[in-house]
Amino acid sequence: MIALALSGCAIPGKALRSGIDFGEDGPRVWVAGPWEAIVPATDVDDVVDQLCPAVMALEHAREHDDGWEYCGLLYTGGGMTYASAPSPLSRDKPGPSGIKSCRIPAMVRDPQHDAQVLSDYHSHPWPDSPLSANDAALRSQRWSIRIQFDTRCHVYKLVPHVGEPVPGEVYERVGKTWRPTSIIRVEDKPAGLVQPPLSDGR
Amino acid sequence: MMRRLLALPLLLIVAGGCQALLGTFQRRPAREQLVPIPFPFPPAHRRVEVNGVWLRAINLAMDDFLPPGKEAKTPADACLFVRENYDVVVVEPDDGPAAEGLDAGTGESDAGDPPSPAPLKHLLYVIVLLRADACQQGDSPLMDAGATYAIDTEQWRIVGWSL
Repeated sequence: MIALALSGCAIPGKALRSGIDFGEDGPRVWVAGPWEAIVPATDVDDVVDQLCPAVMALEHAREHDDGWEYCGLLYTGGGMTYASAPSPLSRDKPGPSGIKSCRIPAMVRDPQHDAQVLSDYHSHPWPDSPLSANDAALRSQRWSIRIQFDTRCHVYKLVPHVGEPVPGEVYERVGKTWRPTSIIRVEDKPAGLVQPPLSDGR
Repeated sequence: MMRRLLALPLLLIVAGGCQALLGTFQRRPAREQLVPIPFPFPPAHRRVEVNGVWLRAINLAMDDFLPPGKEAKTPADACLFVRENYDVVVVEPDDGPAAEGLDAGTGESDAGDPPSPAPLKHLLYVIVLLRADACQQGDSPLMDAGATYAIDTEQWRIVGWSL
């Protein structure tokens, strides 16, 4: 046991099941819901606050360059907000690469609820890895809100305002509030150029 | 004869290996192998002027992002490893670096606070974005198929990296 501890062996993360928790339907990635690791809530933020610890407990979620990204969905049904299981589906299969790229799910499979998707969410397998230009770029927006977090569980929210002549908005979760941190000017929305952090005097 | 038969494949292997090592680098062919092209050029349809400093910064970033000769092991990677499937945006900061968060890929530990960014005067950000129409992404586009680099244009080195 001591030898194992000294050798730095990490406890392997939990594995999700391809074809049950996530899968592909032609060109579309689907994810199953509700995910049993997340307690549904009436307030979407109560669901958001559970996401990062649950995802970081999954296999390879914290392994930096050797790690995997996970992509999932938040959705409502019957007055409650649910999280789907996340999917590690990437280019063909996850693996070591500087290109971290889970595919954004196009649909949730929940036989119990009439699911209305609110948002996607995804993880980065590194610490201190905020919303990237690729996360914020218009080309990668599939849903109207995006939640992202890193291995330290810094949680960010993007409201891209796709097709609207107003700036995109970026928030960071601080305690039980969303603190506005940055904007994306209308002309910068295609490339997802997140402006430097807003000053405290905003 | 046997020696010649063995030598030819060996030559091809060596040549192929060199090509892989050289990657996208190609020397200008001999004049007799060039295609007849009018010079000076005809009226321009589009004209783009590329700043030399930016160009070198882009090359430095792309050589890391997609190294010449990088081998794709899957059909999807074969598309993602093609440079022309990416657009590049270069950002020159107003006044010094806004480097917060750019050391995302370099952290060795999840413990403690990240180091404060050191100020740099000669800094460019190079943002690599997968084109929306590339690689048949369908209804489930790739989330982070790109990267952002911070390039020190005095020392010509990568000083920061993020998704």
